[in-house]
Amino acid sequence: MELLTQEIGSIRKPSWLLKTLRDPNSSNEIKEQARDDLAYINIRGFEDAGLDIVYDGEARRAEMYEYPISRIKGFEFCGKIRSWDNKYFRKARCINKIEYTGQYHSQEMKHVQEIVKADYKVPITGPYTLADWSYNEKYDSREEFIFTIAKSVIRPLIKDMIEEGAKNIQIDEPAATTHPSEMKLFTDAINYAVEGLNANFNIHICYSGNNYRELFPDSSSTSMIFTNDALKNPS
Amino acid sequence: MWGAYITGTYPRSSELIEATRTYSDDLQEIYKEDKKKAIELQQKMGLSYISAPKQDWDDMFRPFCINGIKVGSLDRIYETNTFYKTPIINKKIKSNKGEILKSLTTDLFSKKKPWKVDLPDPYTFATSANNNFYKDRRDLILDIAEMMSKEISRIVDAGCRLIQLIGPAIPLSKDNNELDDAFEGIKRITKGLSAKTYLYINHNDASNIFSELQDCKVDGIGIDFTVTKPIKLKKLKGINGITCGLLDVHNTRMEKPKEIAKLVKAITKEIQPKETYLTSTGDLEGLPLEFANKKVEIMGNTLKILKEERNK
Repeated sequence: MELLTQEIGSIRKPSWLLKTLRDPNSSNEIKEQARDDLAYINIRGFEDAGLDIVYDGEARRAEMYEYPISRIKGFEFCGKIRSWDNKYFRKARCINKIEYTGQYHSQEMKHVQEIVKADYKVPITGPYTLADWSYNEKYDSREEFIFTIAKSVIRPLIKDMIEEGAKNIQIDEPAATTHPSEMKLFTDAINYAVEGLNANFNIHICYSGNNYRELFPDSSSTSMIFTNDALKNPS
Repeated sequence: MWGAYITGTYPRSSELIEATRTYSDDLQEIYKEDKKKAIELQQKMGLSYISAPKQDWDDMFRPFCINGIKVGSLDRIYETNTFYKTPIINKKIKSNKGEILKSLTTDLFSKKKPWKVDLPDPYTFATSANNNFYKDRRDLILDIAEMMSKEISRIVDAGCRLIQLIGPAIPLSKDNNELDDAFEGIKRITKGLSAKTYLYINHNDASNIFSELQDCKVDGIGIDFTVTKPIKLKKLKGINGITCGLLDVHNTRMEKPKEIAKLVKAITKEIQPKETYLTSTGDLEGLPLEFANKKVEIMGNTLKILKEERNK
């Protein structure tokens, strides 16, 4: 049996990148070049370290919720909500029919494909987390809301990514264990999004308090392998 | 009698959020300004008690993390995407010296309007903490109760008229012994206190302990009716007061005052308490400030409808 190694998601943004992005004199071209440079450094760093599967350290993404939500129709950002202490995130409410607007990780994926030597994976935020971190004012039930995101956004997104060459896709679902009674809903939504699609899928779950045990009663019924990184962020 | 008040921590303004991230020199002033605005809105909407908005509390337990109680790692607040830092108890809990009272900025309250404070109930505090010292959890609960009791007495002496204990963990108690421990902790706080006391249960379904709640030594019980379905309410018949958590802090959808008033009346009819309050289902900081403000307006407008109908 192989023991494959991979990093899990975002790598800290260096000060030179932040300085460039915040500088009002930086043109879009310069900002883009800075992001490309960081992606290159991250990928080479992972490869030099000997990891089997790499990505760009999410060099272009500020975080994992706002980025996809701002590229999906039907949502509107409505303000900041506390995660803890002085850490906040911009929360959106779903007020219109949800529509997919195209492969929103395409640009970064292409850049990775150009420079990568090892196998690569593409991390995406899963349907359950996108739904759970949003207010739902449009759909009659949570189930309908979650499955609409799985069906209308995540499945077409994954299809497009596969068409563009992705072979390994990591679905990030930090909200997975938030509602223990919904573990089947979570599992069904993921399976619905990936069923019959030809790629290797992994789920990444973190920030789940002490509820990781909730994952396992249903894990045997998913078509995926869980890659729980509880040890990455020990609480 | 109809009344209304908000529950829990009020959201921070964008300016305050920014100031907490940049550690602005004006941070304390901005906290005060945010609190002032939250208090003014409650007064303007005619709420029965003005709640301490507590925007400077990082979570429900943090101000108590002094005098030997340490701040631990993050844990999820029940089924939300908000986290608290676990209090760590490595030695016997000592009384504090009025730090909680100081954090309430009581000089902002008008003398004309009664004000209230929400605090964790001792059982919820104990079960949310990481206890490395007490062998018997009952001893921990009672020491937390004693520490809180002294602090609450100071708060009441400063003019507070309603202490609402927030007890989401209570319905999760495993058996009657645990429930007795929880109620004993509350009793130690409420005994002889010259202010009204309510126990508010959010986050978890309280219907499994409706009958037992009759034995809790408080003036009234509050229920989050988005989690606890308003059925079998007759089991609560006999309690003095009920607080109806009906304004949803987990959705930006705005409730209609007439519909909320109808629900409040239906619940009251089932339980027949002496007094009924309307509240938010929990901390309004579950919503961005603009939406929280709208919910407070809805609360005030609902109260107005209830009072007008009574006067007809």
